[in-house]
Amino acid sequence: MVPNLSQILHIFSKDFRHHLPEILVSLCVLITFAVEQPRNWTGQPLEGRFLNGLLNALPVLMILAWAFFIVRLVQGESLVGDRQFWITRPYQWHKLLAAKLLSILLFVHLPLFLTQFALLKIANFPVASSIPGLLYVHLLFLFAIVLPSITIGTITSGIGQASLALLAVFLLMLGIVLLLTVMPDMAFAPDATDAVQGVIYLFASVTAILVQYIYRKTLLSRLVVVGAVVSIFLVIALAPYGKLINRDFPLATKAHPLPAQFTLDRALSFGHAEGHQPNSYGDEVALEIPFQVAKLPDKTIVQIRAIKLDLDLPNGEHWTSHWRSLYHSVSPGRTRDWPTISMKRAVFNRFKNAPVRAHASLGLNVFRLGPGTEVLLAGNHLSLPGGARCLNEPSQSWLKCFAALEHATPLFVIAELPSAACPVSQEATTEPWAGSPAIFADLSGDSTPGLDFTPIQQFNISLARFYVFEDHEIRLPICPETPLLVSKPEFLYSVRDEIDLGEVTLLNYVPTYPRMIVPPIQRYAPGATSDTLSWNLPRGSFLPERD
Amino acid sequence: MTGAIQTEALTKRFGRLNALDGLDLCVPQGAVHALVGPNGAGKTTLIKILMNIFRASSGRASVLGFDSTKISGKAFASIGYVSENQQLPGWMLVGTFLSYLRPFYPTWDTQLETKLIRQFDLPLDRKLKHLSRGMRMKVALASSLAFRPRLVVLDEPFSGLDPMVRDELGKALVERSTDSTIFLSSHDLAEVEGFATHVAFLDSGRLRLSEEMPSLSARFREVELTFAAPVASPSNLPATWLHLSASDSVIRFVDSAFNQETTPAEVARRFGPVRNATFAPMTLRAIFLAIAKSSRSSS
Repeated sequence: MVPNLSQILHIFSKDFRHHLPEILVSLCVLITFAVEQPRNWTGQPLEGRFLNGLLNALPVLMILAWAFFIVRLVQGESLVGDRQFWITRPYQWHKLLAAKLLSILLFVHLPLFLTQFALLKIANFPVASSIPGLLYVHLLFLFAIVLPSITIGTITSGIGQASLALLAVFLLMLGIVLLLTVMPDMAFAPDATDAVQGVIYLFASVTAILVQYIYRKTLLSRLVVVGAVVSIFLVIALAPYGKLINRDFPLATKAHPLPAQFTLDRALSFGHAEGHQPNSYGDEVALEIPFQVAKLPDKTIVQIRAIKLDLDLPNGEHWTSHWRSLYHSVSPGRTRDWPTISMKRAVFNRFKNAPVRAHASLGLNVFRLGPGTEVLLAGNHLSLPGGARCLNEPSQSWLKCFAALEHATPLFVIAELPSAACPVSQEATTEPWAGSPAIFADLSGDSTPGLDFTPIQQFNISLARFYVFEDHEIRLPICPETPLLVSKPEFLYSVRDEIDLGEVTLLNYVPTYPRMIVPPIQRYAPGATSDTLSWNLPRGSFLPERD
Repeated sequence: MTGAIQTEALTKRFGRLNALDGLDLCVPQGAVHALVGPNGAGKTTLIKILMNIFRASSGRASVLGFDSTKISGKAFASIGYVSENQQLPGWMLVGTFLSYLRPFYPTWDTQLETKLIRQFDLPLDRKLKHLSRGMRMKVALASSLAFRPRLVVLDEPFSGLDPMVRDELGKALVERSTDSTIFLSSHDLAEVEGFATHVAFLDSGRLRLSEEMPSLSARFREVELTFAAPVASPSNLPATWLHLSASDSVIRFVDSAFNQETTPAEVARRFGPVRNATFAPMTLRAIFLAIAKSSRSSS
């Protein structure tokens, strides 16, 4: 009898010989992906749409190649049916499973890990310190790609059945997207039930795999998987999103007060001149509501993460927008923000001119600015604290940045722009600037790596400045030698603000094209040079302190 | 002595169908035990329960002393199982298949393997999927005999094979019967008659009989009695006399408890003087036809 390890290696070596074509295909796709990465970093386009499309599809092809290999590998000793030769041979289930996992480790995870390792090296990022992050990425990879592939392999008997199962997974995801469209609150809080879904998925997958390997009870395994799918659907469909959102964004307390005062700016509305078309999208009309922002404490940034608008209509009906996702950040110096809410055109048309009683709910995330670090754009290059490196692309008015494994978020950057040394185009200066400085704020996510095959994460930093009404902003070019103050905001807490807007007329908040805000402003005279707008960034208290 | 295979009140239901109905069977160690019966009798179901492929609805079965529900992994190092519809890894060459299986078995006998390869004329360099059905059966059998299993279980090994292949397989089994218990199912009675030491007859999930071949052959006789004048069919005959028919002056029946001394005496007692009496030995096929007809008419 082959000893413990030998049986594993014996099955492994048989699998290696049998599945060599699949292994080679997946390696070829992976190598192509790796070779293609440096070109991707530089953003050089390739000639030919087909080739471009093919290269863009490489991650999908990689997933398909790995999934195909894993399904075939598991089905090499099929667990479905009662006529397979191996089930009456001295196979031990745990050794068979171990052999399969060893193949997956050596032919899926290891090549990907080495590729990621090499890409980090090529991009001159620290390799050793990235290993824990890489291992975390592989854990996600195991969870999202490998585990479902093994599960499909264990409960299907051939590649045809596996393809049908894959189609079912695709339809399931489509169904979830469909649920998103009919359950508006869920669209804002799709991750509210992630942990529950994750536990169900993990439990069902591991159970199905073990039941198949130990007992080969295919019907039971399939029932477990179907049960998990149904449970996940029920969890998504029946979750009390309203309550979950209220729990995640509780009302203010002494310990967690409202970070700023948000009130409806009644002085502003949209004018509707003859021939101006209201902004609309299909059968939806977009409302932009001007909120005045006051009393924002020093060194505090607020992210308006979601908004809900409730209207008491003149006919006694109640209309709610449900929670809508937003990612507006309100930083020091800002006095206004214009969250957008859409409503059905039919409802809007019935009540657009009638005064309606309105109430807004804002879901706010409160951040505190960390210590600021001044970095200088040396030539076209910039190094951010934390190891990210950026390349200035003046034509796009952004810095193209690269980081190892994780985006450098949350991130807050501020600069004295525009300035005499760094002017903006004349076109951009026909309206006065707001009092807030040019900033970049990305408050999304944390520093945990996501599931991405490339370890080199790309993100852009574009410094933008609002015009006077703060309803729109423009990206400003960043010139060499421009000092940037970089800070890593720290998340403090979430809070919900309930705001009584009083009586409003909906039509006043529907912008037209061209936009016309009432009262109008005095625009800059044509010919005014941008450097006249030079705004000496006050070293005010709202700025992060320099290190 | 514990049998190599033993079942107690073994029952298997598929929905409303009783595939096996309270089966009590003992396959002695060292026997070549044939399980015969018509299609759908439950032979394959019984074997799959013994091999722990199916789970019994009730009752127990043990194989080489193991509870059949616990048979897996290492236990198969002593059991060779071949089934007519077993799926072999078609991508493997015959030689690769044998080499692959070799390390799984501590008792694998390479000399015996070589002998079986030669005996079955196995083409080592051909893929299993390119072999004929008979050739695949021979590969399966060679791979199940080469490790000198204590028990060989064969499910319809001769089904659909040409006579030459049947003969080769039969010979190989006979050779192996010296150190293995062989349990095989078949509905081809003539095939097993040649080498089985024991036989069991399964019909509609029920075991009609299970005994040694010589004893079975000895106790069944086709009896033909010729009288001087026409006779009527008598009543109150022994239960062991099956399918009695009277035609003019001839009476025929099957005696399932033939005894060289008592049966002629019993015939004389019941029918009086007989002009001619023959007690002809029966083939296995004839015996099982008689049993099957008898059990159907009684049910």
